[in-house]
Amino acid sequence: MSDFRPLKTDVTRRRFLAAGGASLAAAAVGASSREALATPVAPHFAPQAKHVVVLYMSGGYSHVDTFDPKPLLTEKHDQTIGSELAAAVSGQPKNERFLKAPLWKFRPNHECGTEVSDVFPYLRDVMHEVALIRSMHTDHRDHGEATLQLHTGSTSVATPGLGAWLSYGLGTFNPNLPAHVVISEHRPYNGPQIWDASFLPGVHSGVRIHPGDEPLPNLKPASPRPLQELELGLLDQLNRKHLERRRDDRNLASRMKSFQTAKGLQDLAPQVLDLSRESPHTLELYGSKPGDQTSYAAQCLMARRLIENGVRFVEVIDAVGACRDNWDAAHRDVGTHAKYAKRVDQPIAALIRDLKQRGLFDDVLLVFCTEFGRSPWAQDGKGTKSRTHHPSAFSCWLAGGGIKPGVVHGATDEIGNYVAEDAVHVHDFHATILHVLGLDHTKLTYRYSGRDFRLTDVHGHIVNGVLRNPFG
Amino acid sequence: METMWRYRLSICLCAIGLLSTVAARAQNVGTGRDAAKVEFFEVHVRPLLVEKCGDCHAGTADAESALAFESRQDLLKGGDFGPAVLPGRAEDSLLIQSVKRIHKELRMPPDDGDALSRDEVEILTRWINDGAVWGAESPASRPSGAQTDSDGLLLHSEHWSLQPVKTVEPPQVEDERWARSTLDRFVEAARRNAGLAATKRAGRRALIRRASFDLTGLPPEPDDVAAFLDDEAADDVAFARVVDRLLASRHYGERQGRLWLDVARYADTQGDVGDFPIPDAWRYRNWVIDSLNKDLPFDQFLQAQIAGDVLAEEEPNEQKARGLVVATGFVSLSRRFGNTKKDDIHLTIEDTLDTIGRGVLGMTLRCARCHDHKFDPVLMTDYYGLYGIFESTVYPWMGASNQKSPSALAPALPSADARKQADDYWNLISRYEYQINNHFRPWLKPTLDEFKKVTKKLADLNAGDGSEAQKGDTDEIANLTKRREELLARHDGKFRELMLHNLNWVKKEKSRLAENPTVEFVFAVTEGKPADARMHRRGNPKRKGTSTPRRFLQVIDGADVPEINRGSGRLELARWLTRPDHPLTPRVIVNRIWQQHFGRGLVATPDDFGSQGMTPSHPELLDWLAATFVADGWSLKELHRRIMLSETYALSSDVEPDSNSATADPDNVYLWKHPRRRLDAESIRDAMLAVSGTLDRTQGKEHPFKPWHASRYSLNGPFHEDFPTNRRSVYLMTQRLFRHPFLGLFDGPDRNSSTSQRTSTNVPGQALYLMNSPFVKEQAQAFARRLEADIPTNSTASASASTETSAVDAQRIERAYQLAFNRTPTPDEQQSLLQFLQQHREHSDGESHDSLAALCRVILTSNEFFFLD
Repeated sequence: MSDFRPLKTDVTRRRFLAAGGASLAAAAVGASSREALATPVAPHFAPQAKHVVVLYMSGGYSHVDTFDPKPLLTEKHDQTIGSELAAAVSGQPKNERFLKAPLWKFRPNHECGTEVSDVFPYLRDVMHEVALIRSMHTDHRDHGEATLQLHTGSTSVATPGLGAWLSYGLGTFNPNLPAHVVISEHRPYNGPQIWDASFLPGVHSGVRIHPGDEPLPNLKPASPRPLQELELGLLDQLNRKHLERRRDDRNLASRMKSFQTAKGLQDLAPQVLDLSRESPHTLELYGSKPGDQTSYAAQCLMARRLIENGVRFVEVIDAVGACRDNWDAAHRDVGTHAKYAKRVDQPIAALIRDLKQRGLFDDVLLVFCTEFGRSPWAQDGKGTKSRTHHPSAFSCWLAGGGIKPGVVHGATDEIGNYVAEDAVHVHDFHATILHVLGLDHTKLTYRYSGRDFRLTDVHGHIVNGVLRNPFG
Repeated sequence: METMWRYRLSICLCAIGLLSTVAARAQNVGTGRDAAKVEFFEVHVRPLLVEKCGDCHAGTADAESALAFESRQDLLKGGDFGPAVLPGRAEDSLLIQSVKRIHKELRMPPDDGDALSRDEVEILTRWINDGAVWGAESPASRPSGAQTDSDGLLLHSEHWSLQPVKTVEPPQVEDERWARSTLDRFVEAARRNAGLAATKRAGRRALIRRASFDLTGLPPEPDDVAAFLDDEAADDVAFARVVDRLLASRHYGERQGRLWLDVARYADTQGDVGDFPIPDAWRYRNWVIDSLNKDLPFDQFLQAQIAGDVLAEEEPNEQKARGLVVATGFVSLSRRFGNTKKDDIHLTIEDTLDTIGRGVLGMTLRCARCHDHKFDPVLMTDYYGLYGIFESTVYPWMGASNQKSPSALAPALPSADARKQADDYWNLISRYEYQINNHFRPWLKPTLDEFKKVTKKLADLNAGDGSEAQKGDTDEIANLTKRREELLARHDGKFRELMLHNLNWVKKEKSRLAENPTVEFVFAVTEGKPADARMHRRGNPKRKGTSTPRRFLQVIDGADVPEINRGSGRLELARWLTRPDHPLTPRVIVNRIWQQHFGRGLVATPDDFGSQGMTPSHPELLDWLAATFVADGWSLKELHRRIMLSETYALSSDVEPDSNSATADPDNVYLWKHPRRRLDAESIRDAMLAVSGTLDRTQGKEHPFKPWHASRYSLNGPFHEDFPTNRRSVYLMTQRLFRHPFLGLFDGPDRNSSTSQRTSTNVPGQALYLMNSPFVKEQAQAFARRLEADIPTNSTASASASTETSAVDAQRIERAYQLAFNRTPTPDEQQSLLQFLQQHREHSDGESHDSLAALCRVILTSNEFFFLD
């Protein structure tokens, strides 16, 4: 693949790597199968984007306070629409639903007119680059299940996530970096299950980056570099000797290769994640500062740098601890959205602008999403500050390669309660993402425990309304 | 393989009710507005429904959908998803949602090309909003009870795995090398047939390593290797001694137990969103290990795991009875889901059935949860027949995210009394838990407030001195007392103690109970109320269909519904699974054991003996092994012995450069060599610990979990621990939600569903771990210290310091090779390693870098250490 844009680095092939000579190189060819290493694999049809960056807002932001304006809520603030259809928690009484006005004023984007609330001023300014979906819906009303579904399609049984499927389906451009990277400062709902390879080969598991001192486990050399190179040199020597009588066995060569790759990763990853190489102008664009390695802005920059270095799929998870400190506004003031929006607003808008100015925007599919929406009514009774979990309607957006910019797809009813037009289920969302990457969601299968599994299970319809080339 | 059972997919092309002529209906039409509506229906709606929906929604027993379009009543009644039409509420009607393609699952007609136009949707919308008036109803209603289940169908299959195990005559083989063992005769005949020639016998060193890892998961000790190499007996006799020694080793149970725990998807946590720890899970784990060490016959081994609690009631030996109860961990450790105990129980039972299906029967039973199996003769009625057995079984819980107390734990020694006591105990704890969790709810507040007021008033009145001033109070006292009782009974009386005492009292009482269990409990299943299950339409537990009798697999049993006389039916199931003439159970287990030794089963899909699985490479050998296994009294140790003492097992893994076999049979299906394999995760870790001398060989017991009442887990704060230990890996605490840092990285078992084969990847993350992780560094250092202790510096008298160093180094290298690879290094290797030590010391530049440990790390991470010839 020619798409791998190597970083200008001082990584040199170390002695031990060169020492292998022609025989090792020959033995290693073909060993890097799909099972062993995530090497590039041909998509089903011409892809419209090559990389994915998922910007996941953990906890469920309120669609009616952010991307889905509902003037009627302001008009009918504190008016009742009757009691809940089913109790939120079994065994408890049904609450009466008093509508709640959005906390922020909605204004149109200067070019496409898409309305976004004042909680996201930076994002509003880039909505003309974005296809906004206002008709998302999902199956479950609890964080754990809905988060699992948004990532894996399943609300219960752990199956591979989007990143793992893409790694499996498409591989990586850079053998020295994993295909599937997750930047997550805190543990999200369901922890590593949402990036686990599950039944897919382990190489497709997301590699989690903790922004900060030790971004990846076991990345710091256990001994000083010259000594480590001596060790790896000896290892290579012994392994080659062992291989002599066993040339037929590809696994041996494949394992030898994995040490080279690991060494590459050990040397390359710190450079890829080193933001001191970014210009002051770029840092400013994102709202980051020199030395900052942990802010959301820094994480977005890392995502860009990973993509530039050939990583296929990067997810940046904005999980700020658990429900008590994330987008969840159940029994909490929706006003706290301001705090979380401020963290991500400028950096994400900057990421769009930055990718554009670097000519990368068309290669990358940006996905901005959350696990569900928030109720149009106050959760704890008339005039209260909270909104409850709302799986039947929410808003997400897509941007970049293959995506029609400046459009709004789908609509909710007049209070944002249910989807009224062009419903997009999470399965449809997944089918569309795979489609943009050149994969047919019905054909990307893996046989496990006696049957073929898919990211979209037996569901999924491509959302043509957000595609630049629908039905193409 | 031809499958003769009937598929029930058929398409009915005529929808009788809909196709009746408009004219015939029009005669019954009324007048006025209704007439207009009927006309609208006949002119616009009926033709649309006939054309777009009638083919599949025919209303016949074998129609594709349970939803019929033959009458208004049909649409109001609906199908699997509920009513299709809500008159007057088009937007809420499934019919409209599905033709508008805004429903999650329903998009009708299914083919996008057939989608209704905007006008057509408008027609249906208007019709429903106008009350969904129909023409004349069809006079003849269908016979009721036409269901999509398969009542009355007799299944018959000619699929190979469902035929009885055959008595096979072993083929004759001329070659003396292959004629001695029956097993070899089968293999050699097939090999010859395929035009392949076997390679040479492996050397003793390779053999003892292979046998040790296969049976015990550990490398052989240098002394054992020396004894074997020095044994002057013939190769096969000497090797038989090695195999017998290994089979008698207590590490045998640990290794073989680990592989059975793969099948049983063993874990120490529940898998729900809080991943609650199961402090008792280890008892099941150790029961498996101990039973295998004792060579408990496999039929009894299985029976105990399915119905041990029932068997225990008849078991006079207390020790054994306790073991039997614990053995049901196979069922009780089924995965839990979600944040409540009840909502996802159908998934937990599915996990049980999947584990029995794939693990014991080699059948993907779970495919029949939502529909009849698409490929194998397993019907939904089979699935729900088995489902009923486990729905009649009580699964214990350590807690759930929103119900944090354990419940339904089983008494360690079953009896009616103990069970009653246990139930009362957990019910009371749950009751207090409920009060603690809900005491602050807004809906409860009015009750609590009023109770306080009433109680206060009563107290005030009763505090009076009884003089005449209070005569009028008698009535009030009576009223208040009555009111007080009413309040106590509110919310189903669930808050009685909270009102009578207070929150603190309830908390204290709960703690007191928690710390003083009345009975000894274990995490095992118990018998529930026996009942047949109602089928879940399309697998959705909220859409209950007809009830189906508890039974096993119809394709094996025929029309006879087995007698389930008492209880859930688990005991009958356990006996059925282990019938000596069962076509699946013995074949599946011997195939699993074969796979352990040869990397690939005779059936290469050990958990799928159905039509989607692989057919056996050596069908007659498989049957011979299965028959002999049963005839031997289901002895696993005998089975291992039979396999390992064959010449086939002893083949070398080396491929001669001129071998044709490598190109003719690259996958080694016909066993012309022994396959080289990377060690699995546990063996890698255990071998590192063993070689470095840090392995704690004692049997693991419980993990240091906090007591349940001192911990609270939830979605936001799930249980997550890693209890380090130097014991064997089978004793590591296994979490469902989090991979173990080592086992997860090196392709350990799936902790969430039955694992039938370990995969083996070589990913950079593993190499990075081996290069830089503290664990490997510690093992390398321990290995170096062990070498230094075995070969002290002053052990050689020598002229100069440097020759002395060099001589000591050489001896240590020799020792390291014996421990790690069970062989002497070649002169070349000696040279390379000595040179490495010298260079390493030079590079260290006076700093105290541990050069010997560096050398040890290279050895512990080398291909020779990781791969078994």
